[in-house]
Amino acid sequence: MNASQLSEKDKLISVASLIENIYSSDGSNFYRSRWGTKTEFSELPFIEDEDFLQTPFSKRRYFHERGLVKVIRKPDGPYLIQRCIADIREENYGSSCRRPIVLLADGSDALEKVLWFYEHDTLPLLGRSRNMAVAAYCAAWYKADALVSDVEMLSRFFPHLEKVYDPRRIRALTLIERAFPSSIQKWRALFPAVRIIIGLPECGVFAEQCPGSGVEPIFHADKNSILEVHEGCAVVTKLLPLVTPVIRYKTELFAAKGPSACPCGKEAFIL
Amino acid sequence: MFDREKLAKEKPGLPTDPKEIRDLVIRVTSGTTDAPVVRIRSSATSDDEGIEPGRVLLSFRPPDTQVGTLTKIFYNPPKRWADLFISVDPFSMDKKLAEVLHDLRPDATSGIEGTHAHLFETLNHKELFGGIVQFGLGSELSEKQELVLRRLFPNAHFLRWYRASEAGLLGVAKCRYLKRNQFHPVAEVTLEIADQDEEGIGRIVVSKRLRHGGFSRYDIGDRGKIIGICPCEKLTFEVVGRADYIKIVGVLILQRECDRVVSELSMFVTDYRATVQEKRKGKKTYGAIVMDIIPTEELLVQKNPERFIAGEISRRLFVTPSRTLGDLVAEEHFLPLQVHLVDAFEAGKSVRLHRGNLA
Repeated sequence: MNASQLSEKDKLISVASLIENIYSSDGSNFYRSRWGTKTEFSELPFIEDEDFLQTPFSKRRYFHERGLVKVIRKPDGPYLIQRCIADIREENYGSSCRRPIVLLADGSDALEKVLWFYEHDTLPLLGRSRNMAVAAYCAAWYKADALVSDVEMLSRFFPHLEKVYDPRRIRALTLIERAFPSSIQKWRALFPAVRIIIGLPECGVFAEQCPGSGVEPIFHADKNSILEVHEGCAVVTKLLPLVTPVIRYKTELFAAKGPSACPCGKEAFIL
Repeated sequence: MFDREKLAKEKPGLPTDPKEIRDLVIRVTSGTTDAPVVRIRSSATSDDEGIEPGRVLLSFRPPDTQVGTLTKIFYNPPKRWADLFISVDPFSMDKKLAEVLHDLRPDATSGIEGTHAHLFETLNHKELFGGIVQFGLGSELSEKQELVLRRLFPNAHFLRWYRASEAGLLGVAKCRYLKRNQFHPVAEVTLEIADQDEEGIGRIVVSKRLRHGGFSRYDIGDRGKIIGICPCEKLTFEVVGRADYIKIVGVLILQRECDRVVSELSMFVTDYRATVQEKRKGKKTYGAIVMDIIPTEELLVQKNPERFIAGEISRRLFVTPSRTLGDLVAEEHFLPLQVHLVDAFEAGKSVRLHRGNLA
């Protein structure tokens, strides 16, 4: 079965297997020490940033593999996570295109998205986020047909881009956000296709706006994730076998369960 | 000769076979003095370039310049590249992050001199930097700059490269016979010196064979000279500096801007030579410019000619698009311009703009 076709039931089977592997792993006891004897997904305690901050990266790695280590900045301090090329390939970052540009403020995050395109046999341009004029110049030179960014960055980039390039030539805009952007109608009017996905540097993307929801902030968990809501916050589990796994990670993103009857039939969330 | 203008006109062609994508990288020049040059080129490594190994590589270079290193790590596994790659903005480094990174015991680092100097000034984390055993550096280095870096990374073996964004790796300095800023060209590169002066210094012109994005007789924009054949039997060349500007304390001193200002003041100045350098005072690094000037009669009749002409130059010489040297002196980024009136220039000073050693 294709991962994109996983049903909620399939996801629970998949996460049960992941929990079993993590529980029996010799690589780290980060989760085991927090779970105690619990192995049922719905009973596992939530993990928060504080847990990652308290445990050094070397004690949270479940196996050793070549990879990109990302610095995650939080108000109480930084911590590290790792992404391997196989994890990055399975993520839900880009879109079908030939000449994408990646423009994100966080350098590690941008490099991760660039690697996603390499994994999909597409040559990406990493835009210089600290010099929008140069980023726009490069996008025009490359004849960019897709853009991966966020609304804050796009708002700074767009005035420079439209001076040197017809933005309509960018056929696919992917916005990686922390919440539903209020200015979405403006961008939908300017670009032929806009995807809104929700993600965080520490866990990657975990939700995508329902294609049928228009300007409503209705999201579904993506193929690699289980999304829950606890005390008004999004809780994320990644189904990928990550070096630094993400199981019931309680984010600081506000979330609520969506309408019970989303037209597409999937479980809906408002983010 | 192939120059930057011609390079900028290249079309952004992609290979027909998608499998070749992983060998390619899009690189952009800084655009500091002109429109940036964007190129698609092969990031394939020659044997000489396989010298950036390490278990954990801590990179202080800008992210867009790190894509080639990352693709080598992931797609060139037979070579001993890093197992873990961490990109860190040196200007966001603090003690907490240093502690977190220390947990990984990084053993290799890569960056440019300016970023490491910044780290030295703000965060001399002995445990973290003391564990670095390989230090890759892709910029010119004066003797004193090297001393500063050796204090920051006391256990590191310094690996030096000569490279450019648009061209990739051009030379390496891992041979024990090479002095500071001397390199051997890498296997794919042929190098010549054009428009040589009496000292043999001229513009560095390179040709490079690449699977994608190779070029012939490209003026890289640096000045240098051929030293000769090394005892290891390879050609040795020395990089003297940029042909048209010198970068210090984050700003560019452009020769054409100096020429413009001196031209405006031609009733006072016959000719000039400028030495641009960084000076350390306490824990802070300042920019400094020293000018030797051959005065006209008109300048010599001024009450204090050195002070007069230093003031005139400082308020005219733009060192950023909107700020003059005088502005940056007032903001304490630069020391006041020093002027020496001379009858003639020292032998060997045929070039107007020189980089001086860190003082």
